Amino acid sequence: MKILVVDDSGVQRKMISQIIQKAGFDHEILEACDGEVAIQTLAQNYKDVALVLCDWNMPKMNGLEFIQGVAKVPPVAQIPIVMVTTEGTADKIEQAKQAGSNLAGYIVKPFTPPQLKEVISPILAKTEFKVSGYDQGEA
Amino acid sequence: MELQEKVLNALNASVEEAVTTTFSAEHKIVDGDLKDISTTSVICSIGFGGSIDGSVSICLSDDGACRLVSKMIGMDIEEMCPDVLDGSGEALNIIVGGLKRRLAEQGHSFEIGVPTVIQGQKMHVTKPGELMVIRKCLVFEQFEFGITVFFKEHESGEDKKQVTEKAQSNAGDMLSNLIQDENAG
Repeated sequence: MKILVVDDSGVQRKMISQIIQKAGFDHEILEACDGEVAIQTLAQNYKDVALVLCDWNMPKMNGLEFIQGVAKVPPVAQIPIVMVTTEGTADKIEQAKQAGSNLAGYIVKPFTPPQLKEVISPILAKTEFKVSGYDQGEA
Repeated sequence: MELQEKVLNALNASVEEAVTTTFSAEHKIVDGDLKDISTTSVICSIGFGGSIDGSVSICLSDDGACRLVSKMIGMDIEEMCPDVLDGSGEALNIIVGGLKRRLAEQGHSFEIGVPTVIQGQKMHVTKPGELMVIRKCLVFEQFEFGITVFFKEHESGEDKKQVTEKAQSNAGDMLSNLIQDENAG
């Protein structure tokens, strides 16, 4: 499975990717520098994308517009999106929540690696393929 | 509490938060301007507009900027490159985001513009017009980073379009001042 990291700062994308990898997630990381590129990347990879981490303030298409756009398209609308942004006021968080039901979390920059892990771990756990009630030994 | 004190407290807390969480560095924040501007080669600036109008700038040397971004991404960068400029702008973006959040909690809301990153030599941020100013120095390892905030309280409400235009205009004004400074030097 893959995680798509969307941020206009290449350094921020590197930081997030490193945190994800150091936290032990073995997902392939895809990167996009704005909402438009993210839409294209998602269109090509949506069957394998488990999570999108998305900045708010970006050129061309911002994070809010990206969430709203994704929420309207059934094949990708169920992919969870976590906003990762410096926009940390209560009204901005509420605005993001209203943008789409696909918003699964919100992280305010700056953040620590444990804070990022705390938000994305339960989301990724939900999207993992799980097997229950099957005993390999009896097969 | 006076606006100057509110901005000062919010700035100190935002810089402290950014340094401890993003750069993980031993540091101190002291009052005043850079002692020596001869090494300043990168200035990042972000304008903001709303119930307070102004801008925040950070001055760095090449080596200081490289070290700052090395700390951010956890790998050594020894020479100036696009990643260093990008990371320096992002560092300021994080500080200004913290400033915005803290001042909003005290009833002062504003929108922020995009970071402007300028490369040059012996640059200094001068005070534009009749604005209040706060100058701080962030010191870590052997590096000094000058942080300057110019601001004034807005006299009347504005709609969001005007606020965004104001933020962009502030960044443009700052850029013009910096270019004039560099040419004068």
